[in-house]
Amino acid sequence: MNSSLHHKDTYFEEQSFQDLVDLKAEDQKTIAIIQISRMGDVLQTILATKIFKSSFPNTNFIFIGRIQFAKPFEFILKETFNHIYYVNFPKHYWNLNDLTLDKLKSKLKLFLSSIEEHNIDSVVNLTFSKSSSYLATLISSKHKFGLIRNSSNNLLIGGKWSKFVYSNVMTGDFSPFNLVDVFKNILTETIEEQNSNNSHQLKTNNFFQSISNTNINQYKIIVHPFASHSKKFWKSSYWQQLIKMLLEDEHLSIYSFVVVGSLNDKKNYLEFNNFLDNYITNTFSNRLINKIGILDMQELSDEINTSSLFLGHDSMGGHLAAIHKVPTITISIGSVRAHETTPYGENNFNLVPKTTCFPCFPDTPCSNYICHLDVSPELIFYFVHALLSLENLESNEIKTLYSYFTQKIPSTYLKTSNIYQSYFSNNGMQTLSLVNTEIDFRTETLNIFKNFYNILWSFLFNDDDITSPIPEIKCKKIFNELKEYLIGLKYVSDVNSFGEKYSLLLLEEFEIATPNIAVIKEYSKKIQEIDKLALDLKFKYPMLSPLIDYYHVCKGNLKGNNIIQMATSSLLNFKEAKYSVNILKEFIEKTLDRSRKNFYSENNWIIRPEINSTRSES
Amino acid sequence: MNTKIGDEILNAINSIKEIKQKNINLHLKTCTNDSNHIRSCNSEDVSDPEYLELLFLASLYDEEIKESD
Repeated sequence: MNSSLHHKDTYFEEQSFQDLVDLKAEDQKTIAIIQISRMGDVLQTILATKIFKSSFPNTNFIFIGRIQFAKPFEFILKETFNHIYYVNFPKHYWNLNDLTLDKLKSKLKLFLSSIEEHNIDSVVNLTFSKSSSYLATLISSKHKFGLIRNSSNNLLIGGKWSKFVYSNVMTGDFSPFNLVDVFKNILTETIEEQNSNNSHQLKTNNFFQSISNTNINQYKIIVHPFASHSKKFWKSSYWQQLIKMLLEDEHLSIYSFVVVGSLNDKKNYLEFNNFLDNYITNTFSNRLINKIGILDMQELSDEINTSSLFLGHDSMGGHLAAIHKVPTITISIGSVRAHETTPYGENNFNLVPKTTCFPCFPDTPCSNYICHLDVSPELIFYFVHALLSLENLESNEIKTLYSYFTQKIPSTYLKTSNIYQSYFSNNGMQTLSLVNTEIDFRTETLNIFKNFYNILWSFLFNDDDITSPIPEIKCKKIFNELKEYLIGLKYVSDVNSFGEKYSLLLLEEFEIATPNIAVIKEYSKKIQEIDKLALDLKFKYPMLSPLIDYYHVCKGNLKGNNIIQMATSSLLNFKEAKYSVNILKEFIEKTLDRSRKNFYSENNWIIRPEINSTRSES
Repeated sequence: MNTKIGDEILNAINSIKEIKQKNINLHLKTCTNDSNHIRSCNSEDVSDPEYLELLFLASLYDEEIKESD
């Protein structure tokens, strides 16, 4: 018997939440959101909930976060959430001498019972960690989304978007979506049964337009040179070099730079702090302000809110700027995935390395941080200079910007980095567009696939009809690579056809008066082999792993209360997988058809793919 | 787990696991005898909220310690 089939068979006896459609009216709903990750995730969750609430203002929201990451943002959480609960078991708590297991259990029981007093309709777990899966299971509610456990301690993932996170976001750099959009869509799944009329298209743009900021000092720039992991931020000498260049450039003499960071940053980077203090005293006392370690979160938020630009690495600072609609420039290095974490909003810029190993995972060993060299202080200086010299960013189309930046930034610095600009596509989701000239042979295929997946997932999950020009390929290597992927897709399609066949045979066996258990076991074994074959294919065709992994996770979460329903769900899953394969196949075929002519003319290999010009058209 | 309370949680989990193991073994025997039984019998039963709470505490403990490191 296929293991994934019988797992489901056991736990769907207890957990058939997707089938229990007994939702209250939207305006009476209470949703508890679990976000026990770090500060950046907390802010992205707040933003997603704010946008959701702007469309569904009467929904009651409960926030559950870890005290050390959520409490500092209580002043923002209060604006959106009706109730806030902190998981208050930080490291020092576990070391208390008088702590006993009984005390620990009593504290947890009290915590859970306080939450449950709210008669929760849906628990939405946006954390995807082991502890959050148990917590989401422990809280009683009618419906559950995100990671939970069944009664057999197997992971159970409710909702298409949550399955997407588990299969695509947790596994590599394939997700084309910002995490705010992903969270927003997971929240929307909690009400979509009742609001089938495109409820997912939340009023993202309306939400942002409603933010008015009248206290901006248009010449104040916030610099946040830190992040949560050493992989994700430059060594301080790079920042020293950049700050010097920015201050000494006469065209930028009207700007002041406020450097911010935590108390720990002050303690851990003494040399950098000394540099700032000396530089301020000696030369730029009125234009360089060192506020590292002296602002609380509310003060930092106010400081960012009154500035005209935020410059830093991927960290909570950028997301705080996004909440206040302050434009951002992010230097993404190490394990940062620009598509997922670019501060949410329009016209935010993200500069990322082209190094082969970028982006890595937080626990990937690395001693030399090559990717830090790709995005150089010089590049950032030229980019900031160019951006601040631009009279009206919003009136420029992407093609104009492309030409503008290539004139303003020496090509030497552009060769090693990609520069992305954010915009909202017609389905209200953030998208990134490349604005630098140099085609990136390493990531070009990935970017093409990300665009394909953006269209595919938006259509499959939300029924969004995203239009995008067919990319034109003028690099033979990429052209041939896409041709190879057509073969890969055929294999995936074949594998799913076998899956369909054996699911059907199973169903036929169930229909006869006395089903033969040996035959059922044989067919189930075949399905298990098919699942394994599909997983093997992703190693040869890595760009297909988002698709293979997504349907594998769906397969592990099949709907059904008995073996017949499970086999039916299995059949439907194989069918949908085949359908998705055909969509991808069509995209690739059209791209190849369009690009074929380029290989009968001169070797004009370097082009800016037309895929990047979608902003103006959408 | 490297603190007093960490060890205590682990011991509590293990003692519950021991009891469950006995139940699972009994269940397995039933499975073998029942030719129409096609379900998996080796998954861990966490339907007891007390046990689930311990698993939550253990995983939270691990994550807090790892995070701080």
